[in-house]
Amino acid sequence: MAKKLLVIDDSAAIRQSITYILQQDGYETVEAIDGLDGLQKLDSADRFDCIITDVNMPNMDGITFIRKARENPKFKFVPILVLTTESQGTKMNEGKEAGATGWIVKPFSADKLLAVVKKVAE
Amino acid sequence: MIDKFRETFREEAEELLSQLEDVLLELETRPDDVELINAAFRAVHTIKGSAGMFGFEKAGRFTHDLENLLDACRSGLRAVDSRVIDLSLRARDKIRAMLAEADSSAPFDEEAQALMAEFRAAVEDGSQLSPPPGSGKAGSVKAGSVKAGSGTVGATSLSAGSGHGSSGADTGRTATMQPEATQTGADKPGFKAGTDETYRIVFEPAPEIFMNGTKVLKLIEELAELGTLSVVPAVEAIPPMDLLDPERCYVSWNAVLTTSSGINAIRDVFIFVEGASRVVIEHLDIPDEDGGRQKRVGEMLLERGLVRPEDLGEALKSQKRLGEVLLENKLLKPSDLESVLAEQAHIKHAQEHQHDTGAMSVRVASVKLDQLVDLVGEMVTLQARLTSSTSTLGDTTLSGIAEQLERLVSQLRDNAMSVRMLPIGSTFNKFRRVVRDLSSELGKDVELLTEGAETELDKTVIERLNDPLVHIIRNSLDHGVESPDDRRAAGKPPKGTVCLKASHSGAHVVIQVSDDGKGLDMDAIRRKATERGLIAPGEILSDADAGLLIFRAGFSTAVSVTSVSGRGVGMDVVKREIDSLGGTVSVETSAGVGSTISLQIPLTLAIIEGLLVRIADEHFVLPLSSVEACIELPDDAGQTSNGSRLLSYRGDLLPYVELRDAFAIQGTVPGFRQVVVVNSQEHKIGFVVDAVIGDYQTVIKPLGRMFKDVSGISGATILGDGTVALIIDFNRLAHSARAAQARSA
Amino acid sequence: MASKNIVQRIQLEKISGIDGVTDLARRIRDALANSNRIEFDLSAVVELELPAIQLLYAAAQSAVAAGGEASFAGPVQESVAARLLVTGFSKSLVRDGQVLQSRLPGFGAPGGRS
Repeated sequence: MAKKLLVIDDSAAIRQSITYILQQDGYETVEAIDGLDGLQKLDSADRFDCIITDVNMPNMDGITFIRKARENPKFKFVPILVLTTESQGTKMNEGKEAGATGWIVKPFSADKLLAVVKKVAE
Repeated sequence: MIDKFRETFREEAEELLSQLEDVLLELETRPDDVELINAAFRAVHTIKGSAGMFGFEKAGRFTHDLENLLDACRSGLRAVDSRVIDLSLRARDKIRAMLAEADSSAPFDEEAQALMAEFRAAVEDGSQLSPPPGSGKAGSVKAGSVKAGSGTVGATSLSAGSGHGSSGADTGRTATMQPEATQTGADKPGFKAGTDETYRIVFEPAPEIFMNGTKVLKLIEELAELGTLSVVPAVEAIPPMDLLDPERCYVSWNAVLTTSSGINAIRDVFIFVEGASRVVIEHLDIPDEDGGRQKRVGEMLLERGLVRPEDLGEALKSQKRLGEVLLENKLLKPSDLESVLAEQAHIKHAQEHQHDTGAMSVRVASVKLDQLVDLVGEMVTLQARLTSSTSTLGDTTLSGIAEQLERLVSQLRDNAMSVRMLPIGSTFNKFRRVVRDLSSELGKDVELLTEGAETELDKTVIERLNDPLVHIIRNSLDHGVESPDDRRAAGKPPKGTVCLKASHSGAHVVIQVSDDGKGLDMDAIRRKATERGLIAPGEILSDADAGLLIFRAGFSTAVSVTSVSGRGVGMDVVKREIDSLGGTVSVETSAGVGSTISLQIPLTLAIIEGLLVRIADEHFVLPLSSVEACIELPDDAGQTSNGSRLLSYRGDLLPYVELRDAFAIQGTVPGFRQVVVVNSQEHKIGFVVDAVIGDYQTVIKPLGRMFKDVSGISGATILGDGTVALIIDFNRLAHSARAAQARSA
Repeated sequence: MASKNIVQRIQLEKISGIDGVTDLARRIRDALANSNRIEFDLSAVVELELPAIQLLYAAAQSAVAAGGEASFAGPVQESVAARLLVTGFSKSLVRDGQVLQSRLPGFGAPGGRS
């Protein structure tokens, strides 16, 4: 069964390139444009094997999203990766405190993305 | 691949930049509006984060310093003033221009460089002088100095930017470049990559590690993928059910890893858990095989602080093994002892292999190697004669030389033997073809996986393993792996796998052939064995014993005789060949899941650890690995009425063979004799000899063609005094003894 | 209440990870309340994660403390056998549940020291 991932980012370019890379590698993907949209996608899905979320987003940021997602028993333990840039050491820690499993540093290559996803989601 | 989203990004950035413009203009009128500052930061941050991914590295780097400035405003370190807004607007136009440029690799133009210097200067002047907006914490003195100096300091700052410009810009750049440098460092293996290094790794997961979705075992598996891993989990901390919180982690690991990927690759494995979990990575020096000495267990326990020196001293006084004593007295956790032992074994292995890589190699005809081993064998013999002669002469100078020579010769012997060792992988490749041809012939889809191809074995052993392995693999394909249809029906993938695996285990190599087929049908095997008279009706056999029945002559459970597995010949040949190599065969099977046949083979045939025995004036050698015990021949032992010879041994009746009779040796029989008890093909048997002399490491010399058919002898060796000792083929002797017994019964 | 000597068999899920661990813990506690002999069936398991492995060890301890034992039955899938080996829990690749118990050092030994 293909692994199913939720990709949350307000940037269409980032979102689409991530889903493109993942789909090329056989993953199933669902996109969300911000944290709120992400929560709705969680409600309407039975499972996700991994969630990738940006931090800075309008409406609901990634940190709040992770906190809320972890409150949902279905996604209490799902691996969550935070998209971050290297300048954001504090955001990285905030993400971890909120319950993220790991992070992906932007900019990233397709290989790097897949390596990190494999690391936590398989 | 990401290039196709370049246009999407450009459009998105365009939109963000026009938003940024609006936001900045609004900020000018409401500089304290936190929401507006956040929005500006977010826009810049998004562009910065993504630009590099879509081929706009230059715009990305340029935006980095602007982002820092806006971040300083956002976190209250700097006030939003007209300078910030002016700079941001100019930067916005510059970014736009950069995104329109086709070539992202061109250097920054003067305008861009000046802007970047100004961003940095603006952060600095803000952080030094401006009190955080809305925070009353800044002291009055500071507040005063702001008022007084805000204009001039801004100017000095700028002049510093142009005057000592290089230094200021450089510091700024180093600071921002650093994380990138570590990033690339983590991507590429460390500078030591390429050569094998050994590390000790302690991993103590945080108790709440499961809560963020971390899969702990995955991390250990990732470590294992980096190289050769010896790992021991400490399970002692797992409490009983009534005290256990199932969402808490109790297990920690001690590992030793030999890898060529470098320490950064190891750090990368734990990158997401470091901090909350304890991860210690230490480089271990592997001493040279000849130079350094292996550390003792006690030493290692002390070094790691696992035992107290006084406890160790006390424990060492005991006759028992150190580890046992410490465990018995609860001075040491079992997993700690296990991890120290694992580390010791790992280092020994790494030591043996550390010169493997990168060395030059020379091709030599194998005949020459055989000659070398032969000559070394002669030398070992001659050397032993020299030693015994010098001891009778009593000349101290001469015995000194003899002793030195003895050491040299034994090193030479080990060396010569190691030269003949070959990785077993060379034969593995042949089997690919076998599997390919056979699966198409049988209409099956089977893949061959191999593991441990680098495992080394004596060349002659490898050659003799070829036929048995072909038989086993054929058998797996024919009787084990099902047809694609059957597999689908059983809910398995249509493609079957046969896995060929070799690994070291002490002085042996274990070779396993496993398939994911239907497994051995134990009932069918028992039925067939009864039909063929191989077992008595109603005889109860364990599954392991029943599995071994397939290696008996004339056994086949396939309903129809296929061209592949033939008429039940094959597997019995396997057993015979492995026996003659001094190895053992075992079978593990599980209905519907598959079976595994394991062969345990001695590393070399050329040298054996033997037990030297004497009958009259003749010497014989028995392979030590099969010897179970040496006992006195009891007076009451003797021939029973039906001719079979039995004596009582540990409450059982043990059949025995008079070697004196078997080899027709003349001479008077001494009153006191000994019996060597050996394990032969799952049976015990005793051999009566006049005297047991002791351990004897020996070089085997093959017998000439004339002696090819002599039963009961598998080779010869030359003793220290120049006489010949024959090596007993005890399996053959035991077999004929059992046959004789069966006839007379 | 059922006899203390009747073996309670517990079948583990295909994916035995952190998600089902509370449920598995409850099933083991129920079984231990009825018997001191527990038999784990791993034949369906494809993914065995650490939280579930910890439960097996904890259950074995409790069963032994009550004068019984915890054992395994049925085949063990390759992925599970390989994982137990690679992560150091077992010392060899064990595909047969009946022998698994004897190949897991420390299984059933008292622990819980902190």
